[in-house]
Amino acid sequence: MKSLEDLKKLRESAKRKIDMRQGEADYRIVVGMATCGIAAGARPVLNALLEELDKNHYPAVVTQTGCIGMCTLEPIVEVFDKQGEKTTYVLVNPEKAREIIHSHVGKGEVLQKYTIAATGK
Amino acid sequence: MLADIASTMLDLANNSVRAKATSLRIRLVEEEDKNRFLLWIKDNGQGMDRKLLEKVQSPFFTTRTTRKIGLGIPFAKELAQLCEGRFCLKSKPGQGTLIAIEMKADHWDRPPLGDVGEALSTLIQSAPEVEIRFGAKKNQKRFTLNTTKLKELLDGVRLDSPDVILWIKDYVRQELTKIEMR
Ligand SMILES: Nc1ncnc2c1ncn2[C@@H]1O[C@H](COP(=O)(O)OP(=O)(O)OP(=O)(O)O)[C@@H](O)[C@H]1O
Ligand SMILES: [Mg+2]
Repeated sequence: MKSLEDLKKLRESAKRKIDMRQGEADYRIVVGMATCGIAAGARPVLNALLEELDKNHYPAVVTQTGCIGMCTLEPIVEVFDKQGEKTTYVLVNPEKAREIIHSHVGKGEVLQKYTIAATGK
Repeated sequence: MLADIASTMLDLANNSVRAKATSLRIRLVEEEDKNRFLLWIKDNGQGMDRKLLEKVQSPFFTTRTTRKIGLGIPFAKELAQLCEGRFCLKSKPGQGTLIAIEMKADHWDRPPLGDVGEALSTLIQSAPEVEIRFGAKKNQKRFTLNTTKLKELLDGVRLDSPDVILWIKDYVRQELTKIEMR
């Protein structure tokens, strides 16, 4: 059972202290959340990313953006590393999103098979 | 049309955020005795002038530059019409916008409610700085959520931290189940 009291506990949780020490994130993950993204299922994708981030304390932040301009390839997830290098993952679903974050952010390995390059477009 | 009401809610609220709203009110109202389901969103964003207001209701105008058609408002209008309800879009430049979609609750084409908890938490994650007041009413039962209040309780912890966003999702799901909105 959730209650507003929980927020006080979240406030004091140990996680919070880890977050603070982590400081600046190594990766920025961007999810397209315009009508095209929502229709294709971007919302559960974002949610899966947040769950993995919360569980594993990956050094990443997740943000949302509007239409990326490739509506037929939504849901789209872009991962930017610290140098600003962008990897675009397309046709993502929650399961793929978990794989992507474990590989790319967890191990620092681009997950080629889900990238836009792999679709040949 | 989007698959469920929660998705439509998120999509229209995203318009408000893009219009630089600082305050956003969202209501879901289901009245079984009147066989009515209402989605209502009001923002204090930049608004639209009359010309733009007309344009956005004709499919599929957009001010986006990434593609040539806008989908959100035409979808919303289609939803109301399909469910033998009413569509209302009012806006004043510099003041804000009100959009309301009324549906016959038991209409064949009325989409399911969908995951309102996830839609609302997604909205808050994208715009933690916006004051969002959400209210749901099913017959006589109500649930409300106000992000300003949440921020007070969080006392400096970011509203868009992953653990807080995930908590909001579950909390809203739970409270909507309690008022039997589904
Ligand atoms: N709440 C609002 N306040 C101000 N302007 C709005 C609002 N909602 C919509 N508009 C204007 O109407 C246009 C059309 O909106 P619509 O949701 O149909 O498409 P879009 O948001 O441009 O693209 P899409 O929703 O398909 O991602 C927007 O580009 C914007 O200029
Ligand atoms: Mg829109």
